[in-house]
Amino acid sequence: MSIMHSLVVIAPDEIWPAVMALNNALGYEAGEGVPISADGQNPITHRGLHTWAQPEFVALATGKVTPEIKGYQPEQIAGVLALLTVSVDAEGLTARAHFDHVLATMGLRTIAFELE
Amino acid sequence: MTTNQEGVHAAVRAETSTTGTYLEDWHALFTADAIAAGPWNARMIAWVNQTLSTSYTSLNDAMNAFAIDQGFSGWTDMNTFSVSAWSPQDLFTAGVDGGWYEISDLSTLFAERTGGGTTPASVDGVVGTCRDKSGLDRHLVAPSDAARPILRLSGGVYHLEFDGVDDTMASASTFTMTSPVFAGVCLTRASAASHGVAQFGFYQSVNNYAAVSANASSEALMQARASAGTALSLATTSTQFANGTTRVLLGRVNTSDGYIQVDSNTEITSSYAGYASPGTAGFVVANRNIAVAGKFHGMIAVVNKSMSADDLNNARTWLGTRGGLTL
Repeated sequence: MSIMHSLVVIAPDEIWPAVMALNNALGYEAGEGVPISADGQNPITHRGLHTWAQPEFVALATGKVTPEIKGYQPEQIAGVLALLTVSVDAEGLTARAHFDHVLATMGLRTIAFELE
Repeated sequence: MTTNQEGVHAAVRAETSTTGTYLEDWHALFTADAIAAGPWNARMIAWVNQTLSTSYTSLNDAMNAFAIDQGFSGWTDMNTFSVSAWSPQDLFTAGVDGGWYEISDLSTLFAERTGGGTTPASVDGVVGTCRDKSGLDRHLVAPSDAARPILRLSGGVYHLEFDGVDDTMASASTFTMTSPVFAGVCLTRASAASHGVAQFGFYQSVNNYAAVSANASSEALMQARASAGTALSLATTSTQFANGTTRVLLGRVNTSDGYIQVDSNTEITSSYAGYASPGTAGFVVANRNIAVAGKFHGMIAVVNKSMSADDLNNARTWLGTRGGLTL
């Protein structure tokens, strides 16, 4: 089995539907994404995810390999990828620490949902 | 003529299917029943205590108690015995709903989220489906590929590692949550923050109902809610659930009272009024709204059953064993 890589993807909120659509076309469901903003309060400005990914998927997410996706032109795919912040394996950080590390470098925070 | 010890030896072999010496076969039985390694005497005491839910410290007292439980006047008179290991399946009698999830049973774990799963999960690989072993098909499924936890093996213990970002699993929201409801989980907290562990047990799509959870202050919580989502009660324990520790949390919500218990510590009971069934519900592992960084070893969730003291003891012991604990 291939080594699974810790992969963090952050995207502006307005392109998240496009991120989801591209991933769906590749057979991967990204989900709604974690809501993110600069101060951790609404409104949502970005969305993000953390996943464990095989090398083939990492190559796609980082733009090293451009997939052939029916209905999409290569430049459309490249256009979406250009707007993503993608981080792969962060020197032994745990998944959550990796995610928070990427957010910190971008000046962003997750929008918390507090238990009552 | 068969001596009493030979009869007991045969009974041990019937349980283990081994063919060793008397002591070797007993050790095999102890191991099969998840008794920690050690001298025979200590293991026998532990095995009797586990089997009878007792707390003997004397070998003779323990062995005689076991024999008496088997219908003999004492150990030296016993020439056979029969024990059947407790299984969570014993809880799922007619009319009882719920789910039983056991991460150490790799045959229940699959990479895919749909179709019940076809590709067996492997260590360090993602898990999209955790099948329910109760026979009720309340399978836990990740809502997206990004939400899939990863299967780990650490210290001889299997667990699902939830990433603290977006990992979660839930069953379909398809059963009516007739009280009492009970949830027991074994998990290892993997963060000191509020996302260290939260909300394992039951959920309802609107009210985010939870039976057991924990917070950033390391308190274990039991929540009961009215149908409108208002929290009726929030019982907390003094037993801390600190980062890095493995605990068994047991929680029950009834129409007028509930409790939370951590490991074998004194339960915290809370009474309330105004409870209403939140209606159709499902099970959740980790959380639907707050990401959880934790290692999940197993869960038993039961609906519409009053758990007896023996049920609770057996569930606690079984869950603890999943996480490498002896309770």
